[in-house]
Amino acid sequence: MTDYELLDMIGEVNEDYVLAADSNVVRPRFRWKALAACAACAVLALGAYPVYQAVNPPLHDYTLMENSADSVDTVKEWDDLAKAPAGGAGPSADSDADEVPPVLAAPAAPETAEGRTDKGGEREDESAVTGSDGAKYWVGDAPAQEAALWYDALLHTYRLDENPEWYGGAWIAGDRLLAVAIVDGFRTPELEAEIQKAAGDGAVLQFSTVKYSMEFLDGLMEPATRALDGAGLTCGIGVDVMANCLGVDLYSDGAAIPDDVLAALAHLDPDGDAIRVRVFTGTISAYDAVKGPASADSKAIATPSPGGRQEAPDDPLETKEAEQSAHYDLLPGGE
Amino acid sequence: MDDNQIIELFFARDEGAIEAVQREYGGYCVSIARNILGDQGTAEECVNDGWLKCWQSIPPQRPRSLKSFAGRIVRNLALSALRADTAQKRGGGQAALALDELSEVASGGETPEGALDRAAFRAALDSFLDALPERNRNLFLRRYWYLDSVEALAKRYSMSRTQVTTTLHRLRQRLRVHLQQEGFDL
Repeated sequence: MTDYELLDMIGEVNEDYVLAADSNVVRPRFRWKALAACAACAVLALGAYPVYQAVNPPLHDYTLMENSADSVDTVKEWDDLAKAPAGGAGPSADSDADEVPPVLAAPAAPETAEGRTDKGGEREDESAVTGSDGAKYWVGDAPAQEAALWYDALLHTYRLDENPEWYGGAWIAGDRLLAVAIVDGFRTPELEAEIQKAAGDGAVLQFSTVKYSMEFLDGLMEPATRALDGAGLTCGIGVDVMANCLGVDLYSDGAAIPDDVLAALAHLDPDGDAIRVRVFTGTISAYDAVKGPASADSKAIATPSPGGRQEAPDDPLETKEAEQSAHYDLLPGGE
Repeated sequence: MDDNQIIELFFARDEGAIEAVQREYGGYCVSIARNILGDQGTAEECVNDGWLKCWQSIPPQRPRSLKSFAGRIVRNLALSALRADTAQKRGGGQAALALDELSEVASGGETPEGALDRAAFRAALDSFLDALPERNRNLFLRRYWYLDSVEALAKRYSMSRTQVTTTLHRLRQRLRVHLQQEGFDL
């Protein structure tokens, strides 16, 4: 038999088979197994992350300020600072006044319209003058006083102490300059004009846009305090209006900050920029414990990093001196 | 128009039967002829000859499946044309490749002579096909009845070319063993 003959004979096979072979087209099989395996992997991947997050919650960044609380010099400097006149001329009582920011330097102590002020987030008694820290921090020079009056006008027009939603904070930023922070999304020329009108036609205002409202940052206070409860830590919490964040200063004598505290703070601040955590190590002086060694945007908080980073201020005196103006900020909520 | 109506036209010697069968099965038959001859023009000529053959065969024959009947006629004509034209025998058509492959099975032994032997051989082929899984049976017939290319088979059955080639090789070996067991000297 030849190949031709075999091919001929194959042509005579059952026609049902021939017709069936013509109609039968096999579509690519749906790969259920592959699909199921992919789906299972996806479920595992998606499900594993929340589980991992639950087991290993993200921790809030913090900046480690090593030996910043136990230095005798530091304590002395802060004591000196406390004694400095007019907003704190610096840690040394005999510092050269020319080197002191003008807003802090003037020793006058005029009264404000309302007789209230805030310093470092602490409201003074009713008899105190605006921007002063009792008899220690006088901001009685005319420019500062004028800015305080502008602030006061804003306070009453907008009831800033009730934290309108656009309000991100206000502080005296210079001799005759009141800084007003407006929450991103609310800043319009119309609102700026209104604020200008409320502060007075002569008011020199500097507007800025911030991410968080005072209302939001205020709202973080209570949960942040709860997060720190029971951790055995000495801490200071307050809204840093210039940094537009809630400042949490923790004082440690060397013990690690519990992860659950950092996790709770991270939970409150998923973006990592609403709460600024600093950890001060060493023995805490009574003054530091009450007032905190510094605030605002000191050099030491330059770049927080996960797990903490040691930052030593180049010049603690200069840093604190500059920061003092930030504390003299007339915060409405008595931060 | 279904097969019975077309066949009735053939029986009535109505030339419309040719148009009808061409309309219904023209593409099918041309594809068979093209697979064998490897050329569209020649294939169409072959198919036209096939319609004439159908006209001559029906009546008296009354095919159960007009499609199968016409396809078989065209296949035989195409193979005859290929055989007659020796220059094209091992040309570009799939028949040449299929013949090479089938030479593994048919190696110059005795050819079934006479109607009984041929019927027995057909029965042996049918039993071989009957024993195959449907997929392999279809693959075998697409290759050696329709003379589809390996590429076409791979696409049709969602297989790789290697899978098709390997499967066909095993089927040929199996056919050889089966026919020998049936007593045929290949």
